[in-house]
Amino acid sequence: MIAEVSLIVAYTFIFGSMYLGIALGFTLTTGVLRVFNLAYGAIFLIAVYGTWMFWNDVGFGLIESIVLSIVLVSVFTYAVYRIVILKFAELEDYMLAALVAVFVIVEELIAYFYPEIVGVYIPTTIYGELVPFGEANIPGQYVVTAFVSLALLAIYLLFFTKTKNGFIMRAISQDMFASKLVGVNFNRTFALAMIIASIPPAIIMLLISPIWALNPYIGWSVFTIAILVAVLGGLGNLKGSIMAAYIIGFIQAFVGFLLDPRLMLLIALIVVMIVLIVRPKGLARAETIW
Amino acid sequence: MPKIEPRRGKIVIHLLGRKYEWTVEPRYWRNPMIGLALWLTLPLLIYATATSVFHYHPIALLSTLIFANLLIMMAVPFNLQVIGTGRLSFGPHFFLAVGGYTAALLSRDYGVSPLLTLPAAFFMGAIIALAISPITIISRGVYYVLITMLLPFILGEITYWRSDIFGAETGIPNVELLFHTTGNVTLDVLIFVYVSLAIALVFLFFVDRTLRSRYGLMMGVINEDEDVALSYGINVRWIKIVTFTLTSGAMAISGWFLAHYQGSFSGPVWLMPSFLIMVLLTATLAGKGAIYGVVVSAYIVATLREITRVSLGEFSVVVLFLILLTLLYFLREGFWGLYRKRRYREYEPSIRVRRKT
Amino acid sequence: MIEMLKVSNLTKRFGGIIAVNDVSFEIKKGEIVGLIGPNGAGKTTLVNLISGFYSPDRGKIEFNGKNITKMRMDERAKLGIARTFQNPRVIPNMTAHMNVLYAILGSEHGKELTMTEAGAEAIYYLDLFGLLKKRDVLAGDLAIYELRLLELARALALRPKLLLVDEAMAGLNPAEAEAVSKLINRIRNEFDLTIMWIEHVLKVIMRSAERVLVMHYGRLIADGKPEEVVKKPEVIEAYIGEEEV
Repeated sequence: MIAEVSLIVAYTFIFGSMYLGIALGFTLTTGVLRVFNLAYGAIFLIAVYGTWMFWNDVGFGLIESIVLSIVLVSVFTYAVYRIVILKFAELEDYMLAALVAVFVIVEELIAYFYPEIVGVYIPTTIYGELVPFGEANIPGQYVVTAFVSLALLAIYLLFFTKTKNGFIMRAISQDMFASKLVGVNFNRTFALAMIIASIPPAIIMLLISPIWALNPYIGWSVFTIAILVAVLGGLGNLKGSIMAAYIIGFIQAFVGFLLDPRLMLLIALIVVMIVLIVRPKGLARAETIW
Repeated sequence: MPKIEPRRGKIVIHLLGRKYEWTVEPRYWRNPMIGLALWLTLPLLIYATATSVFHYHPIALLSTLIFANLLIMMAVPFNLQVIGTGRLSFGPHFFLAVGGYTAALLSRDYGVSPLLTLPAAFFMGAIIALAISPITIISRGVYYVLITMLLPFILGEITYWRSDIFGAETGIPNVELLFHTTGNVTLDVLIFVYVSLAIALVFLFFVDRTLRSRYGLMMGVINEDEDVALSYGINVRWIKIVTFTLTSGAMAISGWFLAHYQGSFSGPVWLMPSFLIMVLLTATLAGKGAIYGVVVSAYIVATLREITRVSLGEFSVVVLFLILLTLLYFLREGFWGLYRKRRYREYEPSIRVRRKT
Repeated sequence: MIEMLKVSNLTKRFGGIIAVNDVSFEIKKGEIVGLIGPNGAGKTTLVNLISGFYSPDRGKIEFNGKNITKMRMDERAKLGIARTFQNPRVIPNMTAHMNVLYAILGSEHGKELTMTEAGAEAIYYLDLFGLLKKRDVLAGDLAIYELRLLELARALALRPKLLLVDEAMAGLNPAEAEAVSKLINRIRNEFDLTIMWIEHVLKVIMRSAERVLVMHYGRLIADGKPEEVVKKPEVIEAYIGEEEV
């Protein structure tokens, strides 16, 4: 029993932190830009398979490949912003449909070049040993991922509270019209925020890839988690997202260790649905980032 | 008793103390008639000429038509749902899967005939929709999009969890076919084409009548501005819930058709986002609120899908979606918009849809 | 005369702000009652409470002796409460004709009409407000003066018993304001209406209204004939700095 309790505590922390990192960018694009970037799920795939492509097929070193794939993610995000989001800015339903279509195109493209049978393995393991926690042993890479995720959150908070660009983005999230009036360079700030938002999920995905079995269709399940966290937290609010991430982490750890691992996502989905019916705007109000 | 009173250009029907109006203007009948005749003869034409003219197996072409009709069966109620609830839903394929599973399970496990699984699928879809219909009132904008997007994921997870019942990816086999096979497979497929076409036509007719009725106009107001609709004394909640329930039931009928057409039903195939996008793009490419445009866009989407599938194989989805995105990019008003631009006329109040999500 | 609207102890809070604070008054059938007060006095909130846009925190609203406090907006509209909006809320990409037509079809009496009959009735209301020439113009392309008229036509097409007019003068020049005020008086007589008229500008209301209610910081500070009300010290104090007085 004690073993189970320590497992649940440890994995609540690990899953929670990890999900926070995954959802961070989605929360930001929705919170700052009021853009619902449904192509966000493609970032996970591009990060992992981009690295694999540069490293395995082109022949760069691992670090160079990772850097290049993050550049690729940024280029992709910028392209999505310029081509889809700006074009359909006033037709939100067209935009959402187009964004999901972009996601599926990326997914199918990757599935074509790297089908499921091609084993993709990226050696990003930083600490491969087991970490003892109470009665339980936890893979070290999970712990590393969780702490990197928290570090990314801390960097974000510093960025938004201390820097000028962060301040401008918060101003936009408060009042788009007013910030247009005071002469904020809108397009540049938007593009910058989109790119900034695309980096944390890429890093988390690369760190977690040695543990998770990778396949081209993993994007949707990871994206589902990002949606759950962002929606439950009240789209765009970081405080709400932190709460939501750990709640979902707890649900998953609890269900996974005490009930049935196959129910992990299902129960989380149902809980979020119920919460949304009771509190339609999520746990925290989404009017500010923090 | 109904009393029918002919007037110039229209017929007024008095029934149960209410008056119903039906515009009958033969001079506007030509183009719809030509369209309908084309639509009805196309399957026969393909059946007769596929081998000799196209050097192509007719079954492949006929099943493309079935897919097109399936898209119409989904996109037409979807269009009505979006107009009547004033919200963009990302979960139409959820109701297709609900209907499909209901029909398939009843047929396989209890030997229920297809004629009885039809109402069962409809009511199952409608009841589930009714149960979750409060979301059409409570949640707005992107929250609604995301909630409806989560519904198919929930069903998908359930089918994996209880794969002993739902059969996960292999699905539910041994579902009774819609009719006894004629022995000629191609002829069977042709009959299925006409069954799907009939369902699509019925949906089209009902949705068209609804949109032209006073309820359609009320939906138009709800779509534009819910507060104004309320100040008119329109019972917004009621209209939203009824629309959501009935259109979801209609979508479940497409699932019923699929189960009895394929003889099996596999949810995960249809719960995939790529099918959702095809429905969404069929509805959007049709032009906003253009019900007849759906027919055109469904046939274009299905044809493009078949062409890319045959010529490109594994790579087809990528190219198909790129083509559809390009179309979406350049055809803001949709296929119907192109037609309307050339032949603009307004002889009955029609709703123009401007969606706010 | 009979009381048409009776409001007692109505209170509405938004966070820490009390927008409407313990307001009680009544309106008799056939009256034109002006509701005035400086900006932020809670006039529009009061209209929103009566029309059902918000529900009150405390208090009671009675309409023709019936308690409507808990009713939804559409149910109140069916009982005969119509309103116009401070910022005209017409449906911009439908024509003026269609805007009125939809109102008729949505309303209670519209249920018995066919589309053609409702269309004819819509034309009648457009003509009444001099909008006949503009019937095929998209409402989004109308000028502010025409929008005000369209809103009135639309509200009247619902055949209300009580019409709530929320700032019909805002944004109009003096000649247009004069025309609108004459029209409102005319429809009151012709259609046997009761009108509650919210206005920021005092001059017009002083001439048209038979009774004036004055609000300040959510409270009702005066109620009476226009010429008596303006002499009250608390009203003058409330309007200090406002050039209209």
